[in-house]
Amino acid sequence: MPTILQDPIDSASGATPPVVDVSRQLELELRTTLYEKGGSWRETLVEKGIFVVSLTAIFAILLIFIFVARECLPLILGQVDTARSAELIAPEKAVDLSSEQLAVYLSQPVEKIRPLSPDVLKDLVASRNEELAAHPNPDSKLNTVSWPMLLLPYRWQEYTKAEFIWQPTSLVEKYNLVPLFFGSVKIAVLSLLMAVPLSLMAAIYVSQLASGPVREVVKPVIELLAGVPSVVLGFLALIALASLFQWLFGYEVRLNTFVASVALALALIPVIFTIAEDALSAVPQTHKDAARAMGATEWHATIRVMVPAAFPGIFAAVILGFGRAIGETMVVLMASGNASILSPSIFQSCRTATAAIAAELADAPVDSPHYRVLFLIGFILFVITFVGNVFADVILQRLRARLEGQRGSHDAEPHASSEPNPQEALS
Amino acid sequence: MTNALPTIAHPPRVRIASPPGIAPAVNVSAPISHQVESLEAEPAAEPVAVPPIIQVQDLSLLYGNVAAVQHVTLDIPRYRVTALIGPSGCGKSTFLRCLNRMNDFIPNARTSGRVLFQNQDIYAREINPIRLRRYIGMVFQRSNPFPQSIYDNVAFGLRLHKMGRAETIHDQVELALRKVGLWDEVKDRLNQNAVTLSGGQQQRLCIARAIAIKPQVLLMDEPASALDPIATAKIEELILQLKEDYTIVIVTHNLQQAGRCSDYTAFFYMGQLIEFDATENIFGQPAAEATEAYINGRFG
Repeated sequence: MPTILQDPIDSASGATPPVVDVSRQLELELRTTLYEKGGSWRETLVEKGIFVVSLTAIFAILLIFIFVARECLPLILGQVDTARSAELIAPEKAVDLSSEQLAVYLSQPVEKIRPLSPDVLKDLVASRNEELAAHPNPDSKLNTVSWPMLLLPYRWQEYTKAEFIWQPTSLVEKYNLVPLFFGSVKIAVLSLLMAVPLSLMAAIYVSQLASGPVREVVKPVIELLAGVPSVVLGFLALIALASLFQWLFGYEVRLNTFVASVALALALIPVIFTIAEDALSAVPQTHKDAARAMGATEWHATIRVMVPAAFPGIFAAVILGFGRAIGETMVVLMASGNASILSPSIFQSCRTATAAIAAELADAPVDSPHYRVLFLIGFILFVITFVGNVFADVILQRLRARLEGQRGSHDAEPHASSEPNPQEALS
Repeated sequence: MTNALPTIAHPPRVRIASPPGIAPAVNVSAPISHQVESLEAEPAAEPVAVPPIIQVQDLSLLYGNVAAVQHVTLDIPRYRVTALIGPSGCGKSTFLRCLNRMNDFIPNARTSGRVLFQNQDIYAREINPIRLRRYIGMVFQRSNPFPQSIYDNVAFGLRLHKMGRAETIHDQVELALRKVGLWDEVKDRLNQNAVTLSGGQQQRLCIARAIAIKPQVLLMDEPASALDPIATAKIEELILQLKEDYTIVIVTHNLQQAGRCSDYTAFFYMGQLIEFDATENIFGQPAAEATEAYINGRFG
C-alpha cells in the first residue's frame, strides 16, 4: 500500500483544487509536443551548407598540394634529365629517330616534338648541333636535376672550387637549391630578430602598462600596419630604406638581406603584436591584482605573472610570424637584390625560395626541368610549413597543458622531499 | 531613496577607545604569542583599549561624482578580526581596498581623509603604495592562484621581496603552507600546477601566498563566498588561527560568518559607516535601527 503524502497546502485550506483536470490536460499536451521533431528544414539546410563550406577549405588545401606535388613528381622520381647525349645526331637522321629520342636530344617535351614536320625537326637538330659545337662543355653531359646536384656543392667548369650555385638560365643549367633556402632562412631569422622583440615589447606595453587613452591609439595604429600591402612595403624598402641604410652604413650592395629584413620586419610586427597582445589581454586581471596586493610593481606583476601565463599565446604569435617570414614573397623580391649568393654576410644580396618561384616561373617553359625544379621548391616550402605548424601545435598543446595543470609526465613523479611522511612515521 | 529602507539619522557609534596619535601599546619586536596572551585576558565583548593598527579618519572615496565611501572614521584593532558587513553596493569592499591602496588601480577614483597605518598616513604624497602592500596583504573573493606550480605561488612574494636564499625560501614556503593547513595535502606535489587544486585548497593557497611575506594586516574580500560549506568552515577556522599573528579585516555577506569569526563588526550602508562595535554587541543589541533591520534580514 503506497503512502499518500499529505499536502500541507491542501490540508490547510481544506478545499480540493481540480488537480486531476490540470494534470490530465498537461499529459495530453505532452503526448503531442514531446514527440514533435525540432528544427525547421532551413536550419538543416544552413547547417549542411556550412559543413560543405568548411570541407571546401580542406579540399582546397589538398588540391593545392596535389597540384604542386604532381608537377614536381617526375623530378622526384628521377625521370627528368638535363644531360645532352655526347654523340651529335646528323640532321638527316632526325626522321629515323623516335620522338622520345629527339625530345631528350632537344631537351623538349615529347608532346611538342611529336606533331612537328620532318623539315622542322631537321632544322631543330641542326641548330642544336651548332649550339653544342659552339660550347663544348663537359658539364652539359651532367644531369643537373639529380638529387646530389640539387643539394650538394659541385665544382663547375668555370669555377675553382665546389660551390652551391643556382643559375637556371645559363648554358649548363645549375639548380642547386641550397642558396635559395639559405636565403629564405637568413632573411626570416634576421627579420624575426628585429620584429619579435619589438612587437612583444609593444604588446606588453599596450596590454599591461599603457594607460587607457594611449592603448586606444597605439593598438589600432599598429594593427593598421597589417593592412599595408606588402608590395607597398617592398616599394618603400626599394626606394627609401635602401638608400637611407646605404648612406648610414656605407655598404657596397644597395639592395641586400638587411634592407629586405627590415621591410619584412615591418610586415611581421603587426602579426606578432596582435596575437601576443590578445594573449596577454586574455590573462585574467585578478592574477595581476594578486601580485600587486603582495607589493609587486606593475612591471614585476607583468613579467613574473602575466607574461608566463600568456606564454603559449606569445609562442603561437612568434610561430605565426615565422610562417609569414618564410612565406612572404613580394617584400623580399623587391628589396633583397635577388642575387642567389650563398653568403653569411647580411649586407649581401640574396634570393629566397619564394622570390625564385615568383620571378622565374613565368620564364620557365612548361614541363622543362626548370619548371619542375620551381615546383619542387614549392613542394618543399609546403612540407616545411606543414611540418613546422604541426610541430608548433604539439609544443603549444604541451605548454597549454602545463599552464592548465594537466598532469605531465614530470608531475606524476612524487616531489623529492626529505620530510618523512607523518602517516608512515605513525604506523 | 526608498522609504522601505531605514534612515540614517545618527552618527556612527564607535565604542573603542583610541586616543589619536598614541604609541602602540605593545612592543612590535616582542614575541607575538606574548602580546596575544596579554590581550586575550580582556573579553572582546567589552569596549577595550585595543591598540589600533589602522586608524581611518574621515575617509571618503568618489567614483567620478558618485560617493562610494563617505566620511568613514574607524579604528582597526591589532590582532583582532574586524568584519565589514552590509548590503551589496554599500561600499564595504571599496573601503577594504582603500586600506592598502588597491583603489589606486580604479580609474576616476578619488579619496579624501586620512588612513593611518601605525601612525603613518598611507595617502601622504611621499608614500610608496607598493611598499605599503608588502605590509598590508589582500585575499580576493575568487581564488586567483597564478598558473604556476604550488611552490612557485607561495614563493612568489618571497622571491619578489628577496626574503632569503633558495633554502630558506623552501622553509618559509613550508611554514606558510603549514599555517593554512595545506602542507600535508600538497607536500608530495609542490611542483604541480596550482590550478589543479580544489576551490577551497586554492583559496587557502592564496592565503598562504599572502602570509608568506609576513604582512601585518590581511585584508580579505569575501574569501569564502565562492566555496562550499566544508571549505568555508576550513577558511573560518584558519581566520581564527591567523589572528594570533595578523590583524584581519574581512568583508563578508555571510552574517553567520561574521558572527562566528570576527571580534569587531562594522556595518556599512550606502557608503556610510552606520555602526562599529564588538561583534556581540552588533548582533546582540545593535544601537542603530538600520543595523538591527539588516541583522534580522529585513533588507539587504
